[in-house]
Amino acid sequence: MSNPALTQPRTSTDVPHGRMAMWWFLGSEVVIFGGLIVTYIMFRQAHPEWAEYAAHTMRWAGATNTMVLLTSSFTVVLAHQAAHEGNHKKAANLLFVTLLFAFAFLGLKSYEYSHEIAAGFTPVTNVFWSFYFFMTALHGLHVIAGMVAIFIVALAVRRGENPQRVEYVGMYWHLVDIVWIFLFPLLYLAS
Amino acid sequence: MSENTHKNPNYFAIFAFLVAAFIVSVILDSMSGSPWTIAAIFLIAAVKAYLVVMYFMHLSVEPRFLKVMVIGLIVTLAAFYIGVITDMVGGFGKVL
Repeated sequence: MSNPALTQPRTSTDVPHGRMAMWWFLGSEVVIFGGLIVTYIMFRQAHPEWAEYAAHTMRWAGATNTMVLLTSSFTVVLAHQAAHEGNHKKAANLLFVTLLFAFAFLGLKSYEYSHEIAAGFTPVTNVFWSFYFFMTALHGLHVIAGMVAIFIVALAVRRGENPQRVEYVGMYWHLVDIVWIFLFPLLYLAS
Repeated sequence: MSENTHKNPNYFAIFAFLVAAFIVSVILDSMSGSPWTIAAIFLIAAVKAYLVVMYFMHLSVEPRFLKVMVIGLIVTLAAFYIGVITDMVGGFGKVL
């Protein structure tokens, strides 16, 4: 029941419309997060004392969340492979597993926030903590958006509808993972 | 992934490498805070991102123009950094 307009390659580019749209969308996301990350790096170079602030972040929680997101990237690519092979039930199940990892990520991030705020580190403490809360919260919002999309796609794929969307939602999820790959050393390591 | 006949990469091997690279970066960070260690940690992060984009997002089998688009984004960010940081550098190369 897939939409032929989304699954058939464009004659000019040899890329299906849906995947093409995803690449453009992800490109805009790179500009948003990339701009923030580059700005943070410049501030960090100008303020060596930020290393001291970074030492107050919960490194073990950031490391655990890195593992959680890496593993979720693995499950979502396996879901894509299953959908590609026509095994829709397996694809849906792997997407639901990905959702569990996403819940774990958000749970741990919430735990981190509560401890940091209780310790007196809030978005208005100083510019480092403003960056920390803004970048991680923006990333968290992307995680939530991805969870909603994954849930909708998983339900549809279980019924055998629009299996090509597993790849599209997977591409988005990988971007969420890539952003965290850079946020982790920037905010938690290198202190 | 312009053709549906391409051979899938070994996803498990890529995942295992990503986990190993992550562990190495955490160990490096706990060993020393020297600028070289920090550079190595960010190099590892870049390699991890490259593997995810190329093999999990399948950019390796996409048409060339999509690869150029991604490279163009990275070049734009680099230009942004170089353009602004040169304005921020004061005497003796110190960032203001």
